[in-house]
Amino acid sequence: MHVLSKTFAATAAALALSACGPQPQQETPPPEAPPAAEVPAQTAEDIAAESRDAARRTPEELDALFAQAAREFDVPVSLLKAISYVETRFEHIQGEEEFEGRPAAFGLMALRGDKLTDGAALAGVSASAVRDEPLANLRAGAALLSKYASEEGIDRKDLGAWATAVVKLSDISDAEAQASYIHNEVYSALREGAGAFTPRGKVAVSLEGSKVEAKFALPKLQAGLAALAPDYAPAIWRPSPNYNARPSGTNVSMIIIHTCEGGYSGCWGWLTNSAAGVSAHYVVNESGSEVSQLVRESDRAWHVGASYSCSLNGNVECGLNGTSVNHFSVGIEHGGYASQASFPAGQIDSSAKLSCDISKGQGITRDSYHIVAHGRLQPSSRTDPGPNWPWSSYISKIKSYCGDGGGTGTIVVDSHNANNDSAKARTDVPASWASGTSAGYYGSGYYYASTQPISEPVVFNFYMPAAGTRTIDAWWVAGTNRSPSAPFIITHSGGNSTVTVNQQAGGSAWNALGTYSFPAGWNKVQLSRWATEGYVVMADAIRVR
Amino acid sequence: MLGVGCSGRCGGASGAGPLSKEEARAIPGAVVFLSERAGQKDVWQVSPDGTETQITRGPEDDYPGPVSPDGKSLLVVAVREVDGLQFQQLRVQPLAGGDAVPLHAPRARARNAVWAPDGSWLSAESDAQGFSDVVRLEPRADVPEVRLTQVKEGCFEPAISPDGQEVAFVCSREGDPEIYVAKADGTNERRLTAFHREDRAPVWSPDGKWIVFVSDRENRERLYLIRPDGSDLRAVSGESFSGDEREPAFSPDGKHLVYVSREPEARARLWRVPVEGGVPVALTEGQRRDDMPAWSPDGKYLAFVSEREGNTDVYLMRADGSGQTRLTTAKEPDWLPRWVARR
Repeated sequence: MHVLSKTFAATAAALALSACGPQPQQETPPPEAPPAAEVPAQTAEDIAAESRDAARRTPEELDALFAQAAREFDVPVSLLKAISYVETRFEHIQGEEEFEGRPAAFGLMALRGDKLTDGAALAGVSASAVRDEPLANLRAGAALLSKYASEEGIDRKDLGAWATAVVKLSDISDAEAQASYIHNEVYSALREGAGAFTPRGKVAVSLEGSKVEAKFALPKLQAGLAALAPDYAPAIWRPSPNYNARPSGTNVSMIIIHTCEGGYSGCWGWLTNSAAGVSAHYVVNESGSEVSQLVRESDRAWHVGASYSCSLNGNVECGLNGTSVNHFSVGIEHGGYASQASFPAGQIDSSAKLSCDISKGQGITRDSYHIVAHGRLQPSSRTDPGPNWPWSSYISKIKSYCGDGGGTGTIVVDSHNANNDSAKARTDVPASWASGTSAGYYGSGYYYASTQPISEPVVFNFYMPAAGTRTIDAWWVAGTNRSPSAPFIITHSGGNSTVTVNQQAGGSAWNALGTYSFPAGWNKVQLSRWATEGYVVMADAIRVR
Repeated sequence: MLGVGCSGRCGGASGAGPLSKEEARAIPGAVVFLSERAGQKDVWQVSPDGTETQITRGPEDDYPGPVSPDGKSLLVVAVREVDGLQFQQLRVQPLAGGDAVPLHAPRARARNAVWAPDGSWLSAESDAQGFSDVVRLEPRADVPEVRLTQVKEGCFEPAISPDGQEVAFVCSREGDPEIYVAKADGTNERRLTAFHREDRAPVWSPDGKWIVFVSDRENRERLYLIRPDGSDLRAVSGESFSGDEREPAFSPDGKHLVYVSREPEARARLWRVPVEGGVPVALTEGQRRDDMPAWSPDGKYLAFVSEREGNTDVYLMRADGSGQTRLTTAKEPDWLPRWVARR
């Protein structure tokens, strides 16, 4: 039931916030703000956005439709809902083909291929209705489940006994993947409950949790210690036979983001099947609670059908037959669909941790040119992970986990607070300082002031979650009217140190001011204007590393 | 901030209705676009009165790139799959008909091509000699491409200045994408932006005085204007941010920018803002997806893509947002509009 109550609570928070209108941005958090975790603490705005995103997936109230389909075909309504939650998070999806030979999935029940046409026939509707209409889709799924229950002689009152029919409705053939799908996904949803709201805050679907165990073999991994993956420790190692060696000397330079066009267990089940002829290095589940590793990063997985072949290129640069995307990339699949309206925050977070780890191990540049969509590299036939993958926050989360720029390891304090992460960086600029934008600044311009015997410094504040030793760098735009002895005052554990720098040189680059010990909490570096008169001092940005 | 809106006349709300046939016929130009009506993707052309003709055909997917400055040719990215492997090839397609001229052999990365203003050369992204370089090509067959950048982490998205003397592009050599400008032979490179987040997708204004680019430095995707020397950075939408911003297009006279904001529920909306600064005005209602704006050569009209009638089609409107008119009619998607000047 906790999934349900969490969903309700988050939505209530979102509604409360949206009722208040736009929230003013807090520019100066109190000094007693809780220590920053590895990533910036989730703000109320984030939670509201997350909840809004989730609500977009299920715009209509669907409880009555689920009930109607279940009643008509004598299928437990909770089971229909649990399957729909696991397959689509209650979204009426328009799937696409991701793996050749595995047809696209459609609708709340994620029906594909023969299942879709058979279900349509049983329900007495057209295949296009099953693809396009939520009720027809639910009825087709319920009709198929009912048929399987009759064939298997299932006691329809025994919810646990339905597991074999549920497996039959899926296209999962691998026994381990079947067990994971049943126990860790469908029956887990039945036990914990699930729910969704419409964007207007009405209950779209509610599934109350209940005590039930599937009558189905347990997954092996659940019993003992999960086999740890060779490259990413938190992942479960589920080796796929579908790989080969990377060409020797290949520089692994990209991470490719995919969506499975289906649920998690079916995805890794398919990719570990030798008959599929496809694979990926990793699969991340919908909630972000589990990651499978299928192929070692040092090996070449088969996830993108795009490659370089010198025989088609006048036999030039044959040494670069290694520009096949599979040659130089690591592929991550995600349970879900390119067409879905939003991605669960937990999945994005878990994937960002994984991408950070891969990028560290392989030396991959952490930007959106090296961490890219499958659809971008294969525009003729793929669109995943779709238009709603949150690229900006995904890349910044990866950088944050890896300690880049504004992340934990390094903090950049820009003179413009719009660019700062207010949980760990802010700048206080006295009103008498003027803003400037001559070329070469950091972020969005800088502030400057004439040198005078006045105590009116710009204060760069940065937050340290724990005490530590850091090097401070400063950035300025150089020029002949700049002070040759601009005083930076650094407050550290040992007191204040003043470092004077020549701002006529060293422009538009980081210049080290020194290394100091800082206590936990908010610390500050000030740029004073109290210096030999006749010049200006430039407050642009500092970096703490 | 909340006052931003249509100013009472967006989405054809002025009461003017769709463009009359007479007005449409008088528009000096035509629109090439990508259509999926034949199964694969082909380039088609539509005149403002709605007459459609097919430009490329065949089993490959053809993506329309920019039109040559003389209006006679179109850069096409041809994509084909061989044994499950994908190959891209830049080709110059004469718009009057005739065979396309391939500029190189098919390979894995050949994209984001732009023409020099005199049409004598092109710049594009290439993986022929590295992960991703900005290269210089000639619009003829069998001329070796010249690398303008050699950066292991990759350089991307070239944009040639209106005087043809410089190329703006993106490089990740510092670990994150920054905007750079170099001379047209790749020398005298200078960095325009410095920030630990992403700065990318540069586009020059027609007078060469500004470069617009996308940055997520404020934790959301916004368009910024910057001088080619790296000064005067400012957000295009000022205080009036509406949703992640993308696809900026300068009017031919350089006075306005039209761009797309991405709104919740996969909706997108077109906005117009004076380059000199001011409040953006919405050109479309934003109830569905409206994007991919392209200015007519005379600066009086915009072609764009909309899903408002269920299908993905190319639409036309006056540059003030009035007279919104559906231009293509196929049930299959029609998108990526590019204007051809009528000569």
